[in-house]
Amino acid sequence: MKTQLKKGALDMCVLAVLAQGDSYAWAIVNQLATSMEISDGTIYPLMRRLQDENWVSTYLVESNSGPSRKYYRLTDTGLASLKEMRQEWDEFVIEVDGVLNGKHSGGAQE
Amino acid sequence: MNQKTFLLRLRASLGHLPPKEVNEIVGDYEEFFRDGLAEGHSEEEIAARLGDPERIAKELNARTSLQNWEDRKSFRTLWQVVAAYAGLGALNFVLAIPLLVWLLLLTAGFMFSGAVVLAGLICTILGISQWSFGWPAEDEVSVVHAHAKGAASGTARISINDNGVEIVGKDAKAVKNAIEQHQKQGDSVEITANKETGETEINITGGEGNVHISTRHGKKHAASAAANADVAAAAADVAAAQADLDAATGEGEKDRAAGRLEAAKARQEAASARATAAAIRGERTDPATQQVTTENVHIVKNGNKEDVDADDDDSDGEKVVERVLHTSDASSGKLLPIGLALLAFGGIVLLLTLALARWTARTVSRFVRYQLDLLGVGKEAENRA
Repeated sequence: MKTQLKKGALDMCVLAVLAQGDSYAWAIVNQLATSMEISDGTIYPLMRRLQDENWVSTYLVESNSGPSRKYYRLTDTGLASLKEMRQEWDEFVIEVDGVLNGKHSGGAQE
Repeated sequence: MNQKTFLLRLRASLGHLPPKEVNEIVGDYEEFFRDGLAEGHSEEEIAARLGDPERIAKELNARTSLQNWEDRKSFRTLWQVVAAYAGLGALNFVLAIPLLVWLLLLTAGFMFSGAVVLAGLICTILGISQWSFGWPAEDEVSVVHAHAKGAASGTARISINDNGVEIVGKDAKAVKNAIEQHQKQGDSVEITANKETGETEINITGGEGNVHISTRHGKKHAASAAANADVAAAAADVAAAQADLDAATGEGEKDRAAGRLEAAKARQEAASARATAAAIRGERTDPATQQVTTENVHIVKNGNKEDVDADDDDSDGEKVVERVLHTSDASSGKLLPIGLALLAFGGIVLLLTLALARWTARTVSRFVRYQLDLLGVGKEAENRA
């Protein structure tokens, strides 16, 4: 249950991290890891998927220590998708909370 | 596991991807190690955080082949998708075996319908060509021309089409040579054929005698045999008239004999003229033909040899003309309808197979995408546990 939930949310979390500013894989993983458990190895397949969806673009930045580093940037499409996901997520949480707390949630009949 | 081992194992497992993509992916993980090391983590620590490189590679492989299939929708990449997923363990064994059998059936269906369509296409093209250009000819005459002296022998076909008569086949040259030899001797050689009636004629006129073969009637030998007697009778008439003239003493007798001689000569000329006409057309019932031939000519009709003319055998050689007229009622006339039927049948099967393949691919990729998504996160849950 938890893994499926997390799976659905992971894309949104990564997009949310990028919404705060461009970043690179190591930093994204560490930022996510402060509040949730994720498998570091899957970050690249995930980033590739986001690229395929055109939600994220990449560019290279020269670094002081050795080769350049790949940065990820949220695209306009990605931002729009994030907003949409965020909204759905909020609605979903309200619905679930309503059920769990035994209250009838009028606004979430949909 | 240190960085080097991790990257080597990752690279080895990414064998199915194009080299450019492999380099890019490995570069990404190198960068990850660099960043981790810069923050003071050990290689082993970072490798442990990343997890199993084969697992990562399998996921990347599966996603890439799925992407490829969605880009190109070809049947070959469908196989690759299934193979990649099977390797990932996303398809369990119980599910994979029937799926493979099903894919094999689909592949066989593709090959079968493709072959049928191809055959139909060929038949249709031949049928159209036959209908509009007369090629390949519906009626063909096989001629076996053998000569004891070996001057010319072989097998060739006389093909009747709208262009006239053509001598074709592997020994066509030899047969042409034989005909040319006759022509060099001053003989006239004619090969004619009537497509409508299926009648074939081979005329060799002049030289030592005329050869006329009319394969439709097949009775020319009778006319030819009678021709000798007729010509001989005409010659005898002339000789008798001449003798009468020589023997005549009286003035009145001489005049009458000279008149008979003229009449006999006229009859002889008329016989010759008719003989020539008959030799060319071969249709006259008038059996006035000159001496027939110095060679043996046989006509073989549907495998049954029948002597046409064996008189005057000077054992110079033997010429065998074998003629088989393919009435072709069995196949060639129906080439076009057969081809169209094959095309329609093959096309329907092909479309059906395509639809089934699309449906299979869609179902498989939807199912496996779901499984993949579970794996991607589920992995880390078991890792951390």
